[in-house]
Amino acid sequence: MSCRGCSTWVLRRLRTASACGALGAVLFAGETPARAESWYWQLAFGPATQWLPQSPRFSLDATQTPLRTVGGGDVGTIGATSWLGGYADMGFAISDRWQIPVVGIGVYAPVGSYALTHVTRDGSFVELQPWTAFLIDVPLPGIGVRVKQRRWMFTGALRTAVVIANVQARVANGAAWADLGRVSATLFAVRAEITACRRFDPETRACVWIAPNVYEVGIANGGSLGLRWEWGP
Amino acid sequence: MNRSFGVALALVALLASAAPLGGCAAEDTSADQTDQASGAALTPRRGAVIVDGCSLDTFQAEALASPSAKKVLKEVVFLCAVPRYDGTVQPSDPSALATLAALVDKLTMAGYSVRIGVSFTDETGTRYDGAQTASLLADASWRGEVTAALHTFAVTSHAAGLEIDLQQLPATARADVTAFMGALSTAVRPAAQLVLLAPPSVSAPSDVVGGDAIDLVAIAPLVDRVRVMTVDFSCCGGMPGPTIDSGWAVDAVRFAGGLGASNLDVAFPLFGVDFGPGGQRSVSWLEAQGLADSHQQPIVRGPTGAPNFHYQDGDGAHALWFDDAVSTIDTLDAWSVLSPDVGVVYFGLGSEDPALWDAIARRLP
Repeated sequence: MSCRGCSTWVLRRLRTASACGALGAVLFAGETPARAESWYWQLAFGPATQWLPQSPRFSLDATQTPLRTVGGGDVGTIGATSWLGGYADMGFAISDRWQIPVVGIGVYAPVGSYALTHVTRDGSFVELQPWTAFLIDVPLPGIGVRVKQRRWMFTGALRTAVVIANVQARVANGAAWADLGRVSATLFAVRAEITACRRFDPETRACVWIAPNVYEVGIANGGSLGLRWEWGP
Repeated sequence: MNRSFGVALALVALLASAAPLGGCAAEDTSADQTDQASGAALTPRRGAVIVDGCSLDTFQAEALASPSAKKVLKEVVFLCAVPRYDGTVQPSDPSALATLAALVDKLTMAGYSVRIGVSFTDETGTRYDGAQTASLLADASWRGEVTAALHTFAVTSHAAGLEIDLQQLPATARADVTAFMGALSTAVRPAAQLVLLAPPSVSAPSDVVGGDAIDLVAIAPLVDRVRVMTVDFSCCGGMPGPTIDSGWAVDAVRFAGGLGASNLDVAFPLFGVDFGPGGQRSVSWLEAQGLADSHQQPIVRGPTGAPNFHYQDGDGAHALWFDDAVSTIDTLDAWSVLSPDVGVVYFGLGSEDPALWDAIARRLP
């Protein structure tokens, strides 16, 4: 399957997953959560790591420097990156069976040591500084199932996300560098989340989760691993 | 509940400790810079090289004889002819002309197209006096004599054409320059080619000395090619720096193209520059390496990739900037933004990194 074919396949499934999540939200919005009723809010937060063998391609707006106007466009990637940060997440469970993640937010910064990345843009040399990057991860609606076994709960979900990354860049101006500010990349992701939780009471639990990327920059491009504290039946 | 609270606290503590760790990415200074273009094929371009003089030394001859140079270069320009005050063109003695013709024939047999470059210097052959040249160009009879002499020179030397290098002219010479180029075009073309070595202006009025004397809109139809001389980026009393900036060169070529010049070359300097208390002077790659070694100075790369270093000698502090095979190829790769029709003219054969032509040839498809 060509890359073009992969993108089409993935996009179809993304649309399906998003539609299911949106349908779930519409059907159950406005319901008052109560233990005896069919859906319950879930809140979570925790630390997480991400690993991206392929980082996104950053783009630059046309920028005036002391020497010239550098035309806007693609400025390449910063290579394989590892990230560490934290996140918060919100969703709801339906009938103690279905898990509907709704929205979250995570902020990550790179860990490790990275070499400068040199690219060219409109004829000028541009330098990206990978260690200055940061990544905002906005998990979007998805769908999953959960199983409880005594004090343990296991969840599997398919999750979408929007990822916004940016990194500091500068451009060669003769013998000196001119600051380009931060160049950014925005991309769509699909992840499969698998969670194992230890329940301390009916509404609180500590979890560990892993989420390989079904699609993020590319097919099967890395994934995430994290801990989570959850509230909700 | 106590256990739950404790676990929650532990997670919060872990999150809090992770936050500063998340900012702990650092630059790996031991690693080579990651160049996303490395290894990719260069855009094939028409290549030419300018020799400053009327002959080749051993190094230059060996370079041109190499298969790598023949893959990269198709044209050789000898900056050899100098119009004189009396309307003649030198060199004019039969021995010099015969030697030049033999050299041109030899290079032509080797597959090169050879042209004669015409430098409008004063009669020292090294200095440009724009005011004097402008006054000569204003004399129609002088223009006529020089035109005829240059035509004869091209024929006698067996060259495929002439390349005109007019520098540091005042803007008032604009009309006379155009008239001169028109007369040359009539005399030389189409039997031979006529090429203009143009100042690297990026704006109108021009930002370089002599730029406004060249009316590219009028001259472009009169010549077969325009070589935009994007060398000497840091020169003429300015701050020490690289001899070329790739982005600046792109702008100069685009500007020339916007004025109607369609057969364009961008120039790359093969020489470096030593900036010292007494002024600037051109240096070769070999001399640059020798100076760095003798003064035990580390060579670093500037933002454009150009190697450079500083040293002290009897007359004070020096800054030396030059190019090598790596910086040259990086610039050629940066120029992928230019149309493949834009050629490259390398200025200063004999000053380059000895590994240059092999390195470029390997990267060509």
